[in-house]
Amino acid sequence: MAIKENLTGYLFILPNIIGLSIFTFYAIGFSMYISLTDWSLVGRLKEVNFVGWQNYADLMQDRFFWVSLWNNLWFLMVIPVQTLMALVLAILLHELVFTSKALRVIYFLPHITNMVAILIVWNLFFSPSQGPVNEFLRWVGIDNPPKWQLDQFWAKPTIAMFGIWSSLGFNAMIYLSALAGASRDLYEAAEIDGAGKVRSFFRITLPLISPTTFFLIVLGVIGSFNQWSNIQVFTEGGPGDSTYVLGYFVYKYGFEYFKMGYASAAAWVLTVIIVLFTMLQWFGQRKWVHYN
Amino acid sequence: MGRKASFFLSQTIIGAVLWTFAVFMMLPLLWMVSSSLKYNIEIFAFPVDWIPDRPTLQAYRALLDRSYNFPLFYLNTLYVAVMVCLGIVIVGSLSGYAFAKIRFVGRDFIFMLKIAAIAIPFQVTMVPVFIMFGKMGLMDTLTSQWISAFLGPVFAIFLLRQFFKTVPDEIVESAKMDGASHFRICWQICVPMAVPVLVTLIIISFVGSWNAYEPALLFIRSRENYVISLAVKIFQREYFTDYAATMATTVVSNIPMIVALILGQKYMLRGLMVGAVKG
Amino acid sequence: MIILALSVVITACSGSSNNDAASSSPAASSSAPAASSPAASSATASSEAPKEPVTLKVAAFGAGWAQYWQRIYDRFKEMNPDTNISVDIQEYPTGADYNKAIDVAFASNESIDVMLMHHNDLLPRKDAFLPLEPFAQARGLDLIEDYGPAMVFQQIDGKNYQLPYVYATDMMIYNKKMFEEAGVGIPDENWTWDDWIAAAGKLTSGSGADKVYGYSIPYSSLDSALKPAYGYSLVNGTTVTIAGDARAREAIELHKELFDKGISPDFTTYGLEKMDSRVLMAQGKAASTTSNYWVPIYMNQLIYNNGTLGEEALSLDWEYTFMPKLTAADTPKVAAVTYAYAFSIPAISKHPEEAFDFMRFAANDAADIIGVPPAYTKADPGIVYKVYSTFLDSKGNMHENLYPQDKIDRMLKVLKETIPAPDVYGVITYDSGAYNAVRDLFMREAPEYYLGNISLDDLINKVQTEGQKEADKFK
Repeated sequence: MAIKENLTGYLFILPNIIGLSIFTFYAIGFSMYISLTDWSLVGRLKEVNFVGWQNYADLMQDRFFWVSLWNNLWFLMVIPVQTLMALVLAILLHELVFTSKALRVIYFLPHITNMVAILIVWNLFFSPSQGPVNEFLRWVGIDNPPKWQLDQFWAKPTIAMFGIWSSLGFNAMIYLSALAGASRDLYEAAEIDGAGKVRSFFRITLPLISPTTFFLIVLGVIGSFNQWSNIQVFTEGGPGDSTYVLGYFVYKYGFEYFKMGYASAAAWVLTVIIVLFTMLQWFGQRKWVHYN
Repeated sequence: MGRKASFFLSQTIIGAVLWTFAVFMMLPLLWMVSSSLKYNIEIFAFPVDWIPDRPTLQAYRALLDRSYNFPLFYLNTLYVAVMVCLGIVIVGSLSGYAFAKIRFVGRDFIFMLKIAAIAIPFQVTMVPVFIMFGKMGLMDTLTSQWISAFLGPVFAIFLLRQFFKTVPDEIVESAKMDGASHFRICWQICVPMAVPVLVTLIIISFVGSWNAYEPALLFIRSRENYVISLAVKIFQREYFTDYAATMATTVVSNIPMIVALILGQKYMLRGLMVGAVKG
Repeated sequence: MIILALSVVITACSGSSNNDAASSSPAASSSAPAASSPAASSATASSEAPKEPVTLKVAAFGAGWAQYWQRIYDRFKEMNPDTNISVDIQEYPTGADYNKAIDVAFASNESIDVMLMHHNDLLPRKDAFLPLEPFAQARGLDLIEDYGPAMVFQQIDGKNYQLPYVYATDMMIYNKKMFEEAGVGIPDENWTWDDWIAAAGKLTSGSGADKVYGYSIPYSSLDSALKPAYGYSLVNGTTVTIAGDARAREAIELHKELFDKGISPDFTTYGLEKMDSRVLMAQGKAASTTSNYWVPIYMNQLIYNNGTLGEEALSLDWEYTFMPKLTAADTPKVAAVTYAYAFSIPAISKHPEEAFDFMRFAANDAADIIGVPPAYTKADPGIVYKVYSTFLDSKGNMHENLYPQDKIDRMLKVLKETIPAPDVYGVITYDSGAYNAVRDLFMREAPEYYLGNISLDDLINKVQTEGQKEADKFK
């Protein structure tokens, strides 16, 4: 029985084994090997020098690495905000009967739109001199509106706002599918028990969708740590080093400064940090995620 | 206040709030449509012109003008998107079910490994994956664009696992008592319950593969195998970016996705109804 | 199928121009197969009798180059009917994506035979390319004689890796009518930047939609603030040299003046709105800018391919002159003379001999297809006039008599007489990784200075100290 169960399990996940061997083991092993060399990306792979742990040692001394890590941690604060906003939006969309379908499409639009094109638009919207955002702020009486992506303080929030804008509909849709999958009779039972809307939200809805919340937070953390292309198009890590993040660090040192060994070491450290964060959440989930 | 009145009142308030917010969310997109109807040089004029002074379709005409075979690129992209969705539904459901409901040795460990795989930055896996795909003979094939959906689509597996976990164990156990195999329980009991989740996943994967650029950049070489995202980039020239054309292409390539989204919503709501009837 | 159809279209469009280029250009005959050159018989396998058919994989830089390559090959085939070479043109997106795709292809040994590469991008990748001297020697060619003295200072460790098809020489372009009407004098090679700013200040007027800029800064990335300091590079080897370099300091200050006085679009506008200074000039919204040989052809594209500009843009009285001097004591007529993009042979090429022959043909005998004044010193001067006076638009229509000959002559004079900066200031070599890292640091820090949050000294000190830490990683 146990053997059969095991066999069935492995049969079900068979494609994953192939995927894991290519995308995970081979890729991880490869980047581990590269991180111990001075490979420059352009040289042929056979001609690299083995440098041991030197790249890792250098990394620990690198101020940019620590600044990037700090900025990454800052961006983590956005995740609870964007998750909460998505939840509220999903619940309202779930409650709304009329025009809900149209609204769902509208809120999802930012996610489907080509990011490069949309970042051009965002840059213009937040243009400090004559962008519509600041024109509006001046109109309502704020004389010195922020310089947004050109300001050391405001650059991070500007990028965070973009992240929320583009992911809100996406996250809300995942919540909506969880709400749609929730069985109605639980609510009816609650109603018979005389529980109010607020009470049944906290007693039923929240626990019911907690696996989805967990999912969104885990993926949000991973995505937040790995972000770089939005930074590249938006601020290139600046002004100063205010938006320099680890994903961008890896990209820059690997592909533009030709220190692929060093970049791979940074990527490895980044991967370990992400896995640690994920495991932390994984073991923490017992306290608040309800299956069944 | 009667039940009906309070229902309409709350609907009106929610509707008003959501629509107001939606208008703000839409502003950048509206501006994008508006600039796709402008001449390149007028795009960056301030104060922002919401309605073009001299509207023109030249950016759209430019898309048709150049000697590209856009219909073929659309077909290729559609083929890839459909294959990706198939992979998501088949492999995603089976694996999601297995990770949630079948007890096998090393289950959670393997699942953790899968999540770790998303943690590795793409820049690092790019070269090894490229080498591997080359060895598998996938260079310059459309297969290279969808094969990963069949090799364990992590995102779908994770979401489906989360959903299947909420399906009470008793249902699975009692079906087993009746002599049903895991395969049957998965396809006939669990998957139908997951229709809203699957539809969401299909929408997301469809959109994702429609916009996927990096895999196309790395693996596709010849014109016959071009997909939309790659064709769009090819428009950019040595010393010159055509912003109006960029906006126009974005608008045009969004249309199939909006259609997919509207259709998907329909099925999602229908799935909801099925769930309600069953429940 | 599609490629076939496309090539038929292109051949059809370019057929007429092929023929008269072939008959009018004396250079054409000398270039034909390498076999006809004296030394060829002694060396290359490719010139020996029964030739194996060879297919060259040619990497095209965006859609424009895919068309150029096809037309270049068609002409090559026409002039060498017995050639054993055929081409397989593979399109790549432009810019950083091009490099990324190429790097990954190199890393996994995918074959590419001929490609376009920017000199700065090739620099760090030199090990992945073949030096061209052996090919030139085998064919009895002298690269410096054929492609000009800039080949010397564009060498990497004493070797040339690229065949240029054009030189991108910096030059000033101004609206002669506006300059005359404002009575600010006619600029010449003795003008300093201060003279130019003073004149541009008088030409600056209006606001909002009526704003006219006296001088529009042409590049949208901030490191170009250092450009006027010809002979200066942020990094020498792996040493950051900004502190104590008067020229760098002056060049950075110059930009602040242009921004703050409103002579150029201001700093925030400049970085974020990506205005095209050449278009501003064509619209009469800017009186001058810095650019190169490309402007007239670019204008043709905007007029005939994109419909962005009307034909009236052609009649603008544009004049070309030398770059201003940074200080009065500087040597006049000095500017950056680089070949920027040029042809090269990746080391993974399976057919380097054929690749060299084909790209030499592209560099020597196809300037009119690419639409450039050729870098090839022995090219027929007539071809340059043809490049500027005619334009084949994307619909296949030929436009003629676009630029008068005297105007072209004045531009060619600037092109010809400009002294490459390394001739005056010496060649600076640097580690490209270190250079990129320090340049990026400069670009991230400079906004603070241009917004007035920190002083110039603060900026320079920061770039010097922090930049040196960055550069040290590349030792």
